Amino acid sequence: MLLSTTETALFALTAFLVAGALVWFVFLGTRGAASRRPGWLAGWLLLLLAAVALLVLLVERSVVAGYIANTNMYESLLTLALGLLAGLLVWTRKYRPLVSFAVVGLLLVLGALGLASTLSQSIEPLQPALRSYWRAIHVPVVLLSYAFFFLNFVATLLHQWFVRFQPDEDKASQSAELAFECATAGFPLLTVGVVLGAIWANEAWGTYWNWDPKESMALATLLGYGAYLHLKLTTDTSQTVLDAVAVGSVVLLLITYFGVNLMGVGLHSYGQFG
Amino acid sequence: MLSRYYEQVASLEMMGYSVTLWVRWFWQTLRSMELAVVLLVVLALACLLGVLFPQTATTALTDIQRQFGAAYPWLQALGLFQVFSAPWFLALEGLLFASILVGSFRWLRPAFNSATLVTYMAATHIRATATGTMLPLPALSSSQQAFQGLVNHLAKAGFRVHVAPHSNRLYVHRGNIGRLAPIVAHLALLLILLAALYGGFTNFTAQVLQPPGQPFSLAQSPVFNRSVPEPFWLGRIPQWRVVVQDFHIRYYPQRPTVAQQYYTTLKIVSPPDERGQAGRVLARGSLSVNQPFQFDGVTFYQASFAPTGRLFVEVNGKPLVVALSQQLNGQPYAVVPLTPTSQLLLFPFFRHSDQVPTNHLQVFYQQAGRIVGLPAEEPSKGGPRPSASGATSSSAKQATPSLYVPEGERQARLFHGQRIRYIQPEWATGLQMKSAPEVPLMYAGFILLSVGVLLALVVQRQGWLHLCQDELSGQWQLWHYTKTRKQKARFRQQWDVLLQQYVQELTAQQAEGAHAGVVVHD
Repeated sequence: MLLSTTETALFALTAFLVAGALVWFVFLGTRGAASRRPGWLAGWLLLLLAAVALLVLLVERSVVAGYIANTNMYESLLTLALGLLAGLLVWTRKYRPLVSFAVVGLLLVLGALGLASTLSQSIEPLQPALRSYWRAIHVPVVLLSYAFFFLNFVATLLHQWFVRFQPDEDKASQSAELAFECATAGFPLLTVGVVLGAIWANEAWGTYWNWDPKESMALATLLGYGAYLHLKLTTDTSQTVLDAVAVGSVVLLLITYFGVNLMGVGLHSYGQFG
Repeated sequence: MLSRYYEQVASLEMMGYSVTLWVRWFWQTLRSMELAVVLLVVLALACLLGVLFPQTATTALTDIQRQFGAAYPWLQALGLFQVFSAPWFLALEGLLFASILVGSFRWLRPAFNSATLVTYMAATHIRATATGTMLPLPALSSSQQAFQGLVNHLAKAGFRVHVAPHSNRLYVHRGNIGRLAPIVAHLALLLILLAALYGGFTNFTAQVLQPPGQPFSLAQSPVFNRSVPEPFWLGRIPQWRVVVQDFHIRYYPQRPTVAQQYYTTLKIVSPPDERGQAGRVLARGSLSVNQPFQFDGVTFYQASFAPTGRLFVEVNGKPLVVALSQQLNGQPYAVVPLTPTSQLLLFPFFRHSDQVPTNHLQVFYQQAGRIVGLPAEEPSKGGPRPSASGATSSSAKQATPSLYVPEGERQARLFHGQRIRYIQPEWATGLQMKSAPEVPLMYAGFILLSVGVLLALVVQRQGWLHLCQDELSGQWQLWHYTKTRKQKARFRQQWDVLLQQYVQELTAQQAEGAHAGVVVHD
């Protein structure tokens, strides 16, 4: 089944709103008016509308498909984009002067939407392994954690930017705090996601853990961010080292999310590109 | 991190490396956060290796050998093709759990105290801290009133306020439950480890590929695994038997080649008695993928299926069970002898593997060693070929001297004078069976871990305040000190704004009081 007209329209609307919010935040940033309430609020409302449009798209697609739409890479990227938008809605409000976070975050959302538009958008019948209510819980939780980790990466990059290329102590400190906050939000979600996956695996296959590539990489990602949080919370490690650990962890995340799917092996191979 | 290590090594060198010192060094290293972090990173990289290198559990050994050529023996010796069962990986896992276990005792108590104990700080103590700050206050007409105002102001801001008896000292906090998060999460990890250990000594898994009708017992399954050998294994193997009654596949009506679900129905029967009489039925049930069946502590999972190599057909009204005992170009087929010189060749095609809309047979008639209707003797040129449509097209009939017989058709089809019906192929269902007494404990660990990490979202914020008068100048001062592990700058900013508001309100009150001429002496 190919993309419905409604879905096409919603996809275009989402991309348009995200692009609009991006242009608006860039405008605010260049004018130095990022923290002024009316201007900032307009950008935030564009973000909110984009998130609502994307949510409606996913709901409409789920209704058409007859199941929660998170079974292939296209749907997964849309869910990820929604997670990114949700994170941006929360953190752009908390860290209002850090307008560059909204800009880079929105570029990431556009990237996710752009990649999704190149993938197969057909609705396929579900294979028996995916016919479970656990999928509706496990997958969104994991994807939301991925979204927050990607935002952690954005904040990490910004921290290095405000330390090295455009020195601004205040913004550097805010970026570091924001990066930590994103990781502290992503870590519990990924942990819960992995736990839910283990319970589902036990219900479906009779084993909690198979050392399947996706599972192994999810564990590696979890351990990476676990190291990041332990370093931050219990040692006096410098922010530069923490940034390096965050970058290493996002590499693990990229392998988990994209790399394993490109390999097309293992029990999670239904998330392949194509 | 490294400097501490060198210090420890230096102290060992100075003390002559006595056994006691080595043990102490090992204990201190094991409980250090630095080791835990290093282990987390190393294990993450090890997992990456396990994904980048093909693993023997999922890839054929010959393929791996071909891929890595001369480097294979070296990489194999390093355990890179069985990373997750390699001794070094298991050792790393064991070390991490030991580190969690031992390390937990180090910080568990301070973390718990921080979350539960109520402590107060005097101005002198606050002054000694790195971030303790003093706010000058206006001249107070009543310090008690001002203090009560502070209590109310902080309580209104959402803090839980504790007042030290007989002094103007306060301890305020918010989100103390968040401080319990690492305790709960680490205890959960230990519970999961305990559950896994308990499971290792009590659980078993078994696998069978079983056709309907024949009973089997768990202990005699072709694949039966226990984590530990018999003398140490504490589990129980049930004596009852399992009889598979039916296995079938449901396909999507609009996509007839895509399986929607696999179903097995089975019954559990008691073992035969001394006289060999069949046992009574203890339970009946059905299972499918994601819907396991449970009986007597054993869970049955739908794992796989396969044709057994037997077909149920009817030839000239006579029911037959024929075996796929021959092969042509890799395609198995069955032979049904009709006369000493003639026979039917039955080639089955399956939806799940041949991507045909219906399971069907392609039937050839062979007489005196040659396929009737084919110009050449070998049948490979004319068939077998799976039929893409639901019925043999007229052009196909002309092109191939074969008959298409769909599964389950009530009417027999006539072919060279023979009436042929294809009833169904015989399927074996692949069942995985597992007894896992540790599941409740494991799930409790999972729930506790989830609760623990979610608690971490609650940010603990603490503040200590002392409203006092400077001994020399007599000026009223508010000394304050805050502590949080997250969003430090943000909290500090909010805290400062909160206290500034208080000072402004207090100044306004004092001004009003002075204007009204009210003076209250404590």
